[in-house]
Amino acid sequence: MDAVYNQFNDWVNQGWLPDMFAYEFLINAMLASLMIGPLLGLLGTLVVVKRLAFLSEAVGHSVLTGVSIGILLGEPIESPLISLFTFSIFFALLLQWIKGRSTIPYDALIGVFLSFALALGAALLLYVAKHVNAHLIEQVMFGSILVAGVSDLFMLVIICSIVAFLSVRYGNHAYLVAISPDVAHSQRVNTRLHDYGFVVLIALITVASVKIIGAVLVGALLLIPAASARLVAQNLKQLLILSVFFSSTASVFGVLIPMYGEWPVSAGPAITLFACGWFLVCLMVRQFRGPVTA
Amino acid sequence: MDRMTMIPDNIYGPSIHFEQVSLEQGSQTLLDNISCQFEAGQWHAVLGPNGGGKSTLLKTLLGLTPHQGKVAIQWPGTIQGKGRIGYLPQQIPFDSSLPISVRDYLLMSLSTRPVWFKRKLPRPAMEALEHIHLINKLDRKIGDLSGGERQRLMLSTALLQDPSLLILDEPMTGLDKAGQQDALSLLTQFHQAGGTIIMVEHDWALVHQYCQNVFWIDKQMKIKQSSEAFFHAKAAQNIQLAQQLTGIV
Repeated sequence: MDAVYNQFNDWVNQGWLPDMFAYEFLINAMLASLMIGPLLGLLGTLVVVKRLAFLSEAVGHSVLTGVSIGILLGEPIESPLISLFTFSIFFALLLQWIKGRSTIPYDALIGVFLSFALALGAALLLYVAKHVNAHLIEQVMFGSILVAGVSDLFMLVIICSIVAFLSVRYGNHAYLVAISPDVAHSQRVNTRLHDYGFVVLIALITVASVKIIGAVLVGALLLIPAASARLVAQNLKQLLILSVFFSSTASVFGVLIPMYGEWPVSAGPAITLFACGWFLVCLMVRQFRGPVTA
Repeated sequence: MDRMTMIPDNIYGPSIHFEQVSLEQGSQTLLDNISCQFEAGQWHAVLGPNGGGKSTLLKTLLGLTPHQGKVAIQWPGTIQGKGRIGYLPQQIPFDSSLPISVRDYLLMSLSTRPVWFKRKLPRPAMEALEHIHLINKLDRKIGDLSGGERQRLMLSTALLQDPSLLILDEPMTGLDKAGQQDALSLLTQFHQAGGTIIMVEHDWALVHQYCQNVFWIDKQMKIKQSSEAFFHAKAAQNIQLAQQLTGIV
């Protein structure tokens, strides 16, 4: 990473980049956002097609509990990764497992899990707050550009590689399962494996993104860019490209612009507000274009 | 009607065996101890009143519902274990407001290369679209198609799976006369090539004209076969007709 930092320093010294790029933490945050944006934008299209906006919220809130358990078990306060991954993936798998064995509507089940995760996470966080800096709670909930380290970037590279491979290899089947599971099943697509894989990916990406965006708002970035793209896209390719573009630009702008303008705004809210800006633009385009007719 | 090259000349359709199949959901019985056999290479119709369990029978056959008893698809030796199924569900299965075009749906059903990389459809798919008069609506969102157009698209997609078995849940719904003729010509060609068809259908006249074997599922979730089933179907249609004429329900 030193070569990257030095390169950015050179560009700063040559006047091509603002002074803020001399800070390593900002470069880390920007590189992280360049990976988080496409990841969330890509997976967000499946969230929207499956109508599972609440699922990403629920998994996002499970991160609060994962962080608290990690701290209680003695993991590093800044990065309780083992507990985070373990709890979030367990949470997502349990949700999917119960879904397959009950007749409760999925949205109601997700609502119960979301409330449980939030309540348990809040209770445990308040307990561990006695032992750690209270500022940590704000970081976990709303994200921060100060905390992304080299190990986080490495983790994101691995997750990006996994998602890229899966989307190229199984992307078509994933969308077919999302829009028409019965037809997909008749074509011998393993719909159950796809459903479990989907929730595990949501959990992985949520955990990987939580440092920058925060537990409360990571679900928003899974939803808003794809929902915006859906308003104006005419086909699946456009949906994907626009969703990834909206998500990536919101992530990068959300990290860089508050820093550049010296605004006292956390990265998570800034990123979400930029994503909401794209939603408004798409809403206006849709209104301007008028209802689509057959 | 021209022969469609997407349907091969020889298809080896499977036979299907239901042995004491029951399905309960909560306190509700959806199928009650059903045993029957669908012969290979025949065109079977499943008839019965609404709520009788026709669609449930098809979903059970597809393995979409947990059930008691045994459902076995016996593929001919040449395609043992590799047999493919074409399925047309009763309702168009997705949110029609989604930005998914006709091309997208066909590509995700027929190709493993991601939709966003590969945009060119294989030749049989283009031929099928030509046949069902959707070639000019290739890049139209599915939600913008009429009900009949969507039904034709779904039927073609099922046929493009290179299936030996077609499972069709009310395939004529929403189709006008011309659309029905197009669909029936495709199904006839598939059946004549040796494929097995199991079709839920309400139109008794159509069933009488095209199907060799008829099953009737009544409100008690019991299944009856062939001549007895024809009697029930005919009686049900006559009752419906009488109700329409007299206005008595």
